[in-house]
Amino acid sequence: MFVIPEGFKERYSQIVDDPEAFLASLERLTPKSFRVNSLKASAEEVKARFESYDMTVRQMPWYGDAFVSENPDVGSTLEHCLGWIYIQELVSMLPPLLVREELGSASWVLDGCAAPGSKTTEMAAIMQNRGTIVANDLDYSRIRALKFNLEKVGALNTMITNRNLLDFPENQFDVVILDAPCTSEGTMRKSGAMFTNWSPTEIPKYSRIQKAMIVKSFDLLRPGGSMVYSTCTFAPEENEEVVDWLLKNRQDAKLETITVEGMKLSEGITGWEGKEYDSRVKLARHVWPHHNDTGGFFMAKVTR
Amino acid sequence: MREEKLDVTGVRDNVLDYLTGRFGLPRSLFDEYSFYLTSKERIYLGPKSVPNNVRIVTIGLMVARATGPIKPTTNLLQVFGRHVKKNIVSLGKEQAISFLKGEDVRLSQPGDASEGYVLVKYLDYPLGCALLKANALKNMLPKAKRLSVKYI
Repeated sequence: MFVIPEGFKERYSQIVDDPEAFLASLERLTPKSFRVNSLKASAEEVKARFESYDMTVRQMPWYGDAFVSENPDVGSTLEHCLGWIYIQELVSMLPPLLVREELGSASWVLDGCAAPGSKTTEMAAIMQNRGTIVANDLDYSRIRALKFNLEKVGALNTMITNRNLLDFPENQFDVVILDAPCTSEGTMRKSGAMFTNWSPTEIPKYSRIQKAMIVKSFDLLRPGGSMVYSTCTFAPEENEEVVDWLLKNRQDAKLETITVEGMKLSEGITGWEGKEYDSRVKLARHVWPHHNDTGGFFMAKVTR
Repeated sequence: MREEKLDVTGVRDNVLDYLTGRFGLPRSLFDEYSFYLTSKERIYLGPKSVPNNVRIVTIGLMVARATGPIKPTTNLLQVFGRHVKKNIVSLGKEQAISFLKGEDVRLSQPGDASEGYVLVKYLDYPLGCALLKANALKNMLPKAKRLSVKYI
C-alpha cells in the first residue's frame, strides 16, 4: 500500500506552496514521457507516426522534442526500437536545456555522472554530434547501459570514462553537467515502494558527496564555462546547501537566472532548519511535482 | 582501447572507400570524426579530440571489424541510413517485423542491390545491416537489438 511517511510530510510541508496538492500528486504515477532523438528523426515525423498508430501524444510547450503519452506501449513502437525516441522523464530533460545555447558552440563537454545516458544522449542531439562529450560514470556495472543507449541513439561525439569524478584529471570543459547521486525523493511518484525505505538519515551522506562533487565539477570548467548542478530530490541539504557550499568555497562561481518558458519553477530557499544560505541560491530552481505533473527536481546554473 | 587514430594509417581510407563505394555515402559525412582501433581489432568512429590524460572505456560507435573484409555494423547504417544511396533492400511490413525479430528474410524478387552487405529499410526507416545472398537476407542484427515490435 502507498503510504507517505509522516516525517516526509512534515519536512516538506514547510517549503512547498501547497502541501495538500504536493502530497496528492505523489500518489499518482508520473506520466510516461519520451524525447525525440533529433540525431535520427524530427518531432514532426514522430508525431505523424504516432498518429498513424492512433496513439495520443502531447508535445510539451517548453521543449518541442518532449512528449507525454498515456499509452503504455510507447516502448513497443518501431520508433523506440530504432532509437528515434528515448524514453526519459520530463524533468531529466531540463539540465541540457539550460545550457542549450552553450552546447551549440561547445567543443568540450563533461557529463560527470552519465549512466544510463539520458542527458548525454540529449546533449549529443543538441550538439548534432559535433564536439566531444566525455560521459563519465563511477559505477562500472552501469557503463553497459550507458554504452547501449549511446549506440542506440547514434551518438558519435561521445567517449565513456569510468572514474571517480573527484579524481578526474585536470581539464577545461566548456560545459559540465552534474546530475548528482541523491536520495531520489523526486522519483518516488513512480513507485510507492520507495517510500517504505524513506528515511532522512541518508541525506547527510549524500550531501557530503555532492559538496565535494560540485566543487570538483566547477574546477573542471574553463573560465567562461557553464555548469548545471541537478538532483531529483527535495532535500535542501542536497540542493540549496550544496550550491551554497560552492559559493562559499569558490569566489569566481556565479549563479545564473533560470527560466524554462512554459514550465512553472520555484525559487531556491535561503534557509533550512536553522541554517542560513547565501541569498544568491534563490536563483536555483525547484520543480515541484504538482506544478507541472512531473517528477521532483532541483537545478542550479553556474558560470565561471 | 588503443587511443591510436587511424587517420594516418590508411585504415581510414580503407573504411571510407568501402562506405562510399558500397553505399554511396559522401566522404564529407565523416570529416568531423576520427577512426579508432581497439585492442580487439574493432574500428570505432568517434570525436576528433579526446583528452590524453584519462583512460577511455569506449568511444563513439563501432562501425566495422578490422580483420577480414569490412563488415559494417547496424549502428552505423542506422545513423547514416538516410544518406545511403545504393545497395538498399526495402521490406514490406510483415518482412520488416520478421527482420527486427532477428529472422532471415527470403525476398520474393531480386532488386537493384548486389550481393554483399546491404542496408535494410522499411519506408523511410533504416533498420540495419544484412548480408544479401541468393535472393535472401541473412540477418546481422545484434541479439540485444532483436525486438518484437507491436507498432510499425
